[in-house]
Amino acid sequence: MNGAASGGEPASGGPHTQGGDPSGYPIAQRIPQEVLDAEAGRLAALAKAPAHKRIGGYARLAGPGFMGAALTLGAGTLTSSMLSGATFGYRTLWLIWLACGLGLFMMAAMARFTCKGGFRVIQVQNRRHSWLIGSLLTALVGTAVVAVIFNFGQVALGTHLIESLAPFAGFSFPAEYNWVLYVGVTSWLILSYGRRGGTGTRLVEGVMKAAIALMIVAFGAVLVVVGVDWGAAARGAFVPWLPGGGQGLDLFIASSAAAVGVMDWVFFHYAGLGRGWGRNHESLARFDLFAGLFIPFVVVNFLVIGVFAATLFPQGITPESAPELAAALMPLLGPTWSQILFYVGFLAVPITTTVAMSLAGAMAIHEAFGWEPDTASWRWKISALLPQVAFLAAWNANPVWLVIFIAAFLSLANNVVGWSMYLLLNDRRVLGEDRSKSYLWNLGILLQVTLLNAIAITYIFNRLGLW
Amino acid sequence: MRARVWGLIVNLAANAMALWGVASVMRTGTGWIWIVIGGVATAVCISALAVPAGSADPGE
Repeated sequence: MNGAASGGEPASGGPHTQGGDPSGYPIAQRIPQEVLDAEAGRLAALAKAPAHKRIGGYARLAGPGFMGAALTLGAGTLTSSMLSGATFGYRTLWLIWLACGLGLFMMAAMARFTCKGGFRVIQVQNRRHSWLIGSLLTALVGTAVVAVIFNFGQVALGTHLIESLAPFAGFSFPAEYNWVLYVGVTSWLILSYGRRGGTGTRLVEGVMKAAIALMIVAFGAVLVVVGVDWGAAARGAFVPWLPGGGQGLDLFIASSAAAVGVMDWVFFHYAGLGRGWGRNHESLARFDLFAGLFIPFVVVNFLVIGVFAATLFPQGITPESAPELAAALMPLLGPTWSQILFYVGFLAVPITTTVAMSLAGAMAIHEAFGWEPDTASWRWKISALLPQVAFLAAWNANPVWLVIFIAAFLSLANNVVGWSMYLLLNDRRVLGEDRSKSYLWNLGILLQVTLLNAIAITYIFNRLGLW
Repeated sequence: MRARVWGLIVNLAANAMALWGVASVMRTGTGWIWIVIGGVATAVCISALAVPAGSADPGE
């Protein structure tokens, strides 16, 4: 279905090899050949179809981009947007589309590695840039450990939201008990991925799409209830503004570089390989990035910022955590149905992030150790369910020292992974004639790499007491 | 490719120089020169590194 990079190193599909055929990725091998052929036929027909039919067709075939949106729209991102809306009103809306838009350049590089490179990027990093950058910084630190540690925040938020929703149904369901429901549902979705000849993957992607639609409907309806200052929202979306001093620079750097990070890069690449994407899928991959990742990320964050800008901001209320923010919002939402809707839409956030992070972690662990991913194996199941140790968060367990350690390591390592991806995209030995030939593309990637550099540098300055 | 690696390292140093200037301005009100030098060096590095590799890239 796919060829190796034209002019690049010779292709081979096994572990620790550089080139390869994406349909040779073990998760894609579980998809029947006739299904892959039928998709290739649909793509060929769509390429000649009018724009509106092409968009509809691509929307049905897309998936990894929506999974990417589900991954990045987690407790941290949403809490940051809620705080931003409550503290600064609509004025930081512009940062959302700029941050995610900048991230698309690197994501397009990942799509190139998947579709035209036809290799597994971490293995190529190991070969070209050493295992320190591939297996250690990209796979283990940047993806697998992050999946485990950051899932504590997702479980804490998810179980809190279930606890908050239960009284609307007339009963009590504390986090100490409802974590079983949270872990059960997310584990079922995690273990469905890659099963039953590809239908499991489509099921998970379908749930992700539905969950994102639910977030948009829920937060959109709540925003209609609380009202929008359209003039202020338009100014916030298109007129750059930052708070003064170091706080403004911190906010800009953190927002710009954190919207799409190493885990998002890795997950989109391997989720595409898992779908059997090849040379003919690059247009679909780019559509998926725009319609599946960029649009949902921007819309959901706009809506959340809008809700808090219209409610808590005018009153000067700025709670610090997501549960406190949600609780402070409730009396201002009016009808009970809008409160329920907000909680339900909000619950979709940690659930989808737990699922996507767990899958990304499993893929990364397998790549780091050169294991072939077999979704039916115990090794895969244990790797994928490792982040569920975060069920301890239901008892307010929060490994603060680990979070600080990992955040520090990430701050210092993410830019190096960004360098590695930029170098691979421009490496003739890796991509041959499919390497980047676009000045603008390289420029976008370098701007993101520079922001990642800035995070590492400000972190060191902070530790030295200089910032 | 080696030239690109060195370009990335020089870019990092330029970024640090500009941010050192920002930190200095915030603390003491001086250090604008570091912001200017670091900012210009960053712009030059990024502009040069963005040029796609040709068919006979001397850096490879």
